[in-house]
Amino acid sequence: MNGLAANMMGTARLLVPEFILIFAASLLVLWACFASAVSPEARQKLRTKSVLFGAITLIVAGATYFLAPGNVTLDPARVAFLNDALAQVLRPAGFIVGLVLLIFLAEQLHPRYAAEQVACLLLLVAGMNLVATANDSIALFVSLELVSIPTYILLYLSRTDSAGLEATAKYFLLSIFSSAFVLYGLSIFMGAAGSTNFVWLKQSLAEPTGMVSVGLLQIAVAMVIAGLGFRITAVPFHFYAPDVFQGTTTPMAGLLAVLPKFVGFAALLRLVWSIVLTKDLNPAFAALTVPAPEALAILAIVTMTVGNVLALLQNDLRRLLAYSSVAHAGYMLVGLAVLPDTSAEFSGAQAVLFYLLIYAMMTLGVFGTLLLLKKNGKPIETVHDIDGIGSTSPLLALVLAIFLFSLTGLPPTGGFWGKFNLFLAAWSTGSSTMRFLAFGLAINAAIAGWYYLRLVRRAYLHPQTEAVTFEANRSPALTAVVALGALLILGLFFFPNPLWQLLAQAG
Amino acid sequence: MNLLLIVMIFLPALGAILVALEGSNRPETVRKLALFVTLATLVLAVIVATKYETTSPEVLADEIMSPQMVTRTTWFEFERAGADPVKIEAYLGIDGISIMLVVLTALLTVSAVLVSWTAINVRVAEFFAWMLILETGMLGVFCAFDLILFYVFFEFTLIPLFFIIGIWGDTQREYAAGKFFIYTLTGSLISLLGLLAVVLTVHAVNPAVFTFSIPELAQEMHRQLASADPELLAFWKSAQFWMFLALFAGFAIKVPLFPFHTWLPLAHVEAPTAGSVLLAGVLLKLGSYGFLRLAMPLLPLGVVDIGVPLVATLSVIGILYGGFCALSQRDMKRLVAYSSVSHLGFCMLGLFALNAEGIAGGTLQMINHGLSTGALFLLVGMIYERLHTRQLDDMGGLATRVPIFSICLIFACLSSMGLPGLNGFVGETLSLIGMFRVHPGFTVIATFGIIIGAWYLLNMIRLALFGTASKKLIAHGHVPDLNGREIAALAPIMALCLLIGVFPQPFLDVMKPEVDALATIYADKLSDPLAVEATPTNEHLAAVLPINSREAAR
Repeated sequence: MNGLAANMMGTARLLVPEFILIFAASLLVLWACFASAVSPEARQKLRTKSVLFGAITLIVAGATYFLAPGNVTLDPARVAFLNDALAQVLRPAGFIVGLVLLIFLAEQLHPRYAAEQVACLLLLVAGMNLVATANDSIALFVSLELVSIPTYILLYLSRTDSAGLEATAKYFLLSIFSSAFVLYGLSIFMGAAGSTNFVWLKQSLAEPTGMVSVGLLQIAVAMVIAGLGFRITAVPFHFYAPDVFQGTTTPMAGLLAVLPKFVGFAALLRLVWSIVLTKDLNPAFAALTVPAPEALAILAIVTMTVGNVLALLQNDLRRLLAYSSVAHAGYMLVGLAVLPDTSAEFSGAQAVLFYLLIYAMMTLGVFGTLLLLKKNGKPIETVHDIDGIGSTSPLLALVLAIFLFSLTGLPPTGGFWGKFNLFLAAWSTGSSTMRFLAFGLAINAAIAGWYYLRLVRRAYLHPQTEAVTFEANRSPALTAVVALGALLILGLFFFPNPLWQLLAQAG
Repeated sequence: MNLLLIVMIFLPALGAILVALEGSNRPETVRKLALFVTLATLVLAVIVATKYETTSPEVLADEIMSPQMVTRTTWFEFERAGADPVKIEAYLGIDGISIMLVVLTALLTVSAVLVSWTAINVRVAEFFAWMLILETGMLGVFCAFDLILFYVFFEFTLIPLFFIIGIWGDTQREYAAGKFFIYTLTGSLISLLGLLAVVLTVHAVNPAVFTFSIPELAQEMHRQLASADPELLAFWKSAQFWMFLALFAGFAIKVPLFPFHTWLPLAHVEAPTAGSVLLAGVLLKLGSYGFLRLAMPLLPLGVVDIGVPLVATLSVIGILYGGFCALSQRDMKRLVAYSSVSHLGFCMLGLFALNAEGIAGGTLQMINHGLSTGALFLLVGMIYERLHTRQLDDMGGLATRVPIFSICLIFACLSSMGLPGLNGFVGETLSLIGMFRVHPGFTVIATFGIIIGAWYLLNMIRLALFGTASKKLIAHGHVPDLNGREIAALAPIMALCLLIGVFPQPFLDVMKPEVDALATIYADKLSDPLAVEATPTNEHLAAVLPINSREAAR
C-alpha cells in the first residue's frame, strides 16, 4: 500500500508543470466568460491579456519543470507516467515550442475568442508533454486525446469561413477515425498483457502465454502504427494535411506541421519502437510478424516520395509546406526503421529525435518568416506572393533562404546534420533494405531541393510583378523568435555536438 | 592548429560579411573592399605556397597522403556503446596537389573581381559578398582532409554560385541556375552515400578503425587491400565497384563528363563573366579533384575495374563531342564552354592513366585549364561589355580596332589549344603519354581532339579578329581597347601560362611525391606492358620537353 501511495505521489509531483498548464487553461476559459468584449478596445485588451497570461503560464510551467526536485524514483511497472530520458528531452522542447506557437497565434487571433484560443494551446502543450511521459496504454490514449480535442477547437476558432470549416471538419473526422484505430490496437495489447502498463506489456510479449494469437497482435501493431501515422502524416494517412493546411491560417498550419509530429513520434518511439518491435519478444511473434524494418522502410520511402513529388506541383504556400511536412515525416521514419536491436552502431531513435528538433526549428522558422511578411496588409498565400522580397526585404529573404536550405539539408545549416545522422544510422545497419532506403533518402532530398529552391528563386530571382508593398510586420517577439531560429539553425551546423549529447540517453 | 591556413580560407567569408554590411549604396567602396580582400587572400595563398615544403618521398613511402600546416579539431562526436567515440573533424591541411589549386583559386578570384568592376551595376554589395563566400567554399574544398568537411565545402559552393548565376546572369538565368543547382545537388547526394559507404565498410572489415580522415582511410584501405585473403579482396572488389559508381555520380556531373555535361554550357552562357571564370577555372576542378583526392586513393579496385573503362571512354567521347560542338558555335561564350568539356576530357584521361606521367599531366592540366579557359572567359566578358554581343558574325576585323585585346585573345587561344612553349602543351602531352602507356587506343582517338581544338579556336580568332568588320561593328563605331584594370586582370594569368609552358619542372616537382605515391598504389594493379618503373623521372620528361633536356643535362 505504501509503495502505491508513494508512486502516486511521485507521479503527481512529476506532472506539476502540466497540471499548472491545465489549471491555467481552465482559469482562462472561466475568466473569458465574464470578461467584457463588447467594444473594440475591450477586445483588444482581452487579446493582449490572454496572450500575456498564456506566455507567463508557459514560462512558469517550464521553470517549474526545471526547478522541481527531479529524480523521484518510481517503479516503472506501477506508474502511468514516467519522466525517463525521452520525456526529459521532449518536455522542455514542448514548453519552448508552445511559447513559439503562442507568439505565432498572437498574430492572427479571433476577435472575440482569443482567451479560448490561448487556453486550447496551453492544453495542447500539456497533452503533448503527457504523451512524452506516458507509460501506460490508457494514459497514452487520454494524452493523445488531450492533444486532439483542443486542436479541433483551435482550428475552428482560427478561421470561420467556409474553407476553414471544411478544414476543421476534415481534420475532426479523420482524427476521430485515427483515434479509434489507436484505441483498438491498444485494447488488444491490453488483452495480451493483462495490464495497461508498458513494462508488463513488454514482459508478456516476451513470454508466450498462449492467451492471444500472434495474428491478432500483428493487427494491433498495424492499427497503432496506422493511427499514429495520421498524426505524423505518413502516407496513406496524409490526405487531410494539404487541405487542412490550406484551409486554415498560417499560425495554425505551423502548429499542425510541428505539434502532431512531436506527439506521433513520441508515441511511436515509446510504444512501437522500444516495446513492440524489439526482438527479445516471444519467438513465435517475432518469427511471424511482417518484418518490421522492411515494413517501416516501405512506409518511409512511400511517404517521402509522395510528399516530395506532390509538393513539386503546389502553388499555394501552405499546401506546399503541408506536402513538405509529409516528406519530412518520411525522413524521420527512416530512423525509426533502424530498430534498437539491429547491429547498427548508431541509434536510429537518437537520429529521429535530433531530426525532430531541427525540423521543428526550421519549419517554425519558415512559417514565422511568412507571418512576418504582409502583402497589402494581407497574409502571404501563394508562392508568387514572395516574388522579389530578396531586394525589398533582404534580411527576411536571407532568413527564409537559410530555413529553406536547411529543409533541403544543405550546409551550412543544421538540416545537413539532421539528414546526415539518418543516413548514417540507416547505412550502419548493414542491411541492404536500409541501404536502399538511404539511397531513396538521397534521391528524395534532391527532389525536395527543387521546390525549396523554387521558393528561394521566387524570393531572389524574380522581380516584384505588381505594385505590391511589403511591410515587415512589426512584432518584436515574432521577429526575435525567427531571428533566433535562424541563428540556431546556423549554429547547430557548426556546433552540433551539444544537442546530440543531450539526446544520447533518450535515443 | 595552423592559423595561416585558417585565416586564408575564412578571410573571404569575413570580407563577405563586411561587404554585405557596407550595402549597395556606395558601390565604389564595396568594389575596393572586395578587391582588397581577394588581394589579401592571394597574398596569404602565396605565403602558404612559399612556406610549403615539398613532401619528402620518405614520408610518403609509409603514408599515402601527408598534409602540411594541419589543423585538426573535433567537430561532431558520436559516442558508441563499448567503443571509442567516432569523430568528424575539422581537418584542414595542404599537400602538393592542392597547393597549386589554392593559389589558382585565389588568383582567379582577384581577376573575377576586377572584371566585374563595371559589368555589375545592380545589387553590387550582394554580388561581391556571394563571390567572396564562394572563394571560401572553393579554398575549403582544396584544404579539407576530412571526408565530411570535404563534402560540406563541396556542396556549399552550390549556394553562392546559384545566386551569382541566378541574379546577375543573362536572360535564361533562372533556368540555368536551377538546372545547375539540382543537377549537382543530386549527384553530390549520391556521392555522400558512397563516402559513407567507404567509411562504414572499412570499419566493418576492421572494427578498430572508424575514421572520416581521408589520409587515415586511404592508409587503412591500402593495408586491407594488401592482405592476401582472397575472400576479402573479392569482397572489396565488388563493394568498390558500387562505391566508385556512387562517387562517380557526384564528380562526373561536376567535371562534367559526357553525357552529364548538359548543365554546363547553359550555366556558362547565362552566368556573368566572373561566374563563368570561377565556374570554369575552379569549380569544374572540384570534380576532377574529387576523383584525384578521394576516388583514386580510397577505391583502387573500383578505379581499376570500372573507373578506367568508364571514365576513359566518356572522356574520349567528351573530347570529340565537346570539340565538334564548339566547332559549330557562333556564340563565343558557348564555344569556350564546349571547349571546357573537351579539355577536361584530357585532364580526366591523364588522371585515369593511373601512372605518374598521367596523374601529373592530369593535375597540371587542371591548373592549365583554369588559367587558359579563365582567361578566355575574361576576354569574352570584356568584348561583350564593349559590343553587347558575343556572336562571332557580329565581329570581324577586331584586330585593328582593339589590338591589345586581340593579342591577349590569340595568346589565350594558343595556350588553350596546347601550343608548345605554353602551358597547355605540357599538361596535354603528359596526360596523353600516360594514357598511351596503358591504353594506346584511347590516346589515338583523343589526339584528334587536339586537332579539333586548334580548328575551332583558330576559327574563332579568324572570325572575331580578322576579315572585314561586320555591319553591326561598323555601326557601333569606336571600340575602346582594354584598360589598365582589365590588363591587370589578365596579365598574371598570361604570365603563369608562359611560365608553366617554359619551366614546368618546378610545378611538377611540387606534386611529384604525392603523384608518385598515388601511382605506386596502382603499380601492381595494372598491366602496363611498357612500364619499366612506376615513377616518372626527368628522362621521361626530357624526352617530351626539349626545354627540360637542357635542365636535365645540367
